[in-house]
Amino acid sequence: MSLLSKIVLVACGLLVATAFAHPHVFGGGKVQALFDEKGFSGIKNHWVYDEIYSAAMVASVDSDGDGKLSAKEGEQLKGAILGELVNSNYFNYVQSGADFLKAGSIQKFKASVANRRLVLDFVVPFSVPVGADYSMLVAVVADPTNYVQVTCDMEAAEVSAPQSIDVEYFGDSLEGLSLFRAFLSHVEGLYLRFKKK
Amino acid sequence: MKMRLLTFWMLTLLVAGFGYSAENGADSVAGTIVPAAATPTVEEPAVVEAKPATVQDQALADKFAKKKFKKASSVEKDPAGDKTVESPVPQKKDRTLWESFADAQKKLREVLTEKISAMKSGDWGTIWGFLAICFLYGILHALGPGHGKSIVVGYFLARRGSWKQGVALGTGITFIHTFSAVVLLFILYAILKATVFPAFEVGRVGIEKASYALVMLTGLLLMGIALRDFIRRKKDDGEKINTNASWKEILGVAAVTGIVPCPAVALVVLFCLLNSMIALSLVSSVVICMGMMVTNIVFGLLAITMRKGIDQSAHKFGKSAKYVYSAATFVGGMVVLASGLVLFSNTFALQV
Repeated sequence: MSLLSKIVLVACGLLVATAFAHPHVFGGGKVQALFDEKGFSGIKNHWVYDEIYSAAMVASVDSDGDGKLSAKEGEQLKGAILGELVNSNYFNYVQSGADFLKAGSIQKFKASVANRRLVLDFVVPFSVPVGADYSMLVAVVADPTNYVQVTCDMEAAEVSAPQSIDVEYFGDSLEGLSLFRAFLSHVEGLYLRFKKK
Repeated sequence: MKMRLLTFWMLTLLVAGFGYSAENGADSVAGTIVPAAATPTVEEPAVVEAKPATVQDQALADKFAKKKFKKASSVEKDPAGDKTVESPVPQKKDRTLWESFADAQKKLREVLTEKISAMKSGDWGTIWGFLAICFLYGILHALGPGHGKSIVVGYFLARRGSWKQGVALGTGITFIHTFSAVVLLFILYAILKATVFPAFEVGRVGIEKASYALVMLTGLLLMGIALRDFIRRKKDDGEKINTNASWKEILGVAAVTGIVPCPAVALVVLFCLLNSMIALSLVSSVVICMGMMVTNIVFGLLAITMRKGIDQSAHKFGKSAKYVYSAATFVGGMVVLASGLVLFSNTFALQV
């Protein structure tokens, strides 16, 4: 292969490859899938943002300048951060069959600051009834645009369910699931299946 | 043989641009942060009835058959456990080079905050380390989409450029990209003070969509020029057709592409401002800008090398060479159009 061909190869490769991975905001997350007597009821989210973004967002609502978040300031942050994520399902994507489930409104929202980092806790409600046969879901918590890089370790995800429901789960890659093709390869899903005992 | 190689790479470029657009649907810069006005209305989640088995269900069933799974506990736990998650860098296997770059940016951002805090405490000895990290952060950050690389490559594939013009386009896009962020942030900061960032994001998202639309238009114009030149060349020998890059065009492409304010620069600048370090905020933006310039200039020079190679190969085909020139311009225009299209469509990615 000539030098020119190599240069063209490198240029083409870079051009395509750099279409991925462009985070501006970084966050770590932990999730817990929730079940009640009726079935799958939602995902509990715990997000921690990077220090620079945290400073910018906390300052934007911290009217008394004490560096802490009052209930009112927390509500403002809820609107500022999660308000615009309504159509993105608050980055909570749950596949049921061939579609994503539409989330309900955020519940149990709490904003706080720990180690100079903004921490958001909230529940994204869903509703999938339990039946006699297994229902299967895949849950992903991530920004498909990767503007906000929320990193969730799905292998460490928790699942809570009442005694009446049998739930099995594991965390794994999204390989082979075409509905999630927009996500970067490192994003993992929480695979769930459940039925009445 | 060279002609075949040339055709192969042109097709590769074409497929790469549109394949990504059609398949991926998401990669870059959807706006996520807006002011409190957008608080969602209360609504209950739609109840989804159990569905009959689908192909997807079968795929999931196969996964369950292969994987070792856990059983749910009956106790609702706090996902944070006893302590706050420290925004960890993922420790997963099989991370791609580009994902590693993203992780590196995250680490660099953490070090930047440490250095700024140290300087605020009076330890100005860390400033050289801080500036070096700003520079490196700029280089890595510009590798992500939305910094004009594909537009630079597409433009110089379409138009013959000099080395000087390659440097100028890479520099121009980056300078405008950074300058627009700093100016927008300072104006908003003067008006809104610390509450500036959500407003900055609203402004950025609007400018972003307009810019991507203009990038698409630029691609269409380049494709139109290619078709016009092709028709002219069919009529005569095409000797008089000028396919060289012009300074006027370069300025226009740089303005259209670079006008999107860089949120990464804005966040670092704002962090300095919130720590009452105005001079440092300006110095950091200049150094991050210089880092991003390096990336864009390298891409500009690579693209010019590519076009020179195409021209050299095409000369060997005598009269048929004129079709190669038109094809190169057309493909360059398509690359620019595809880049704009992907970036624009990704602002609406995966809306449920």
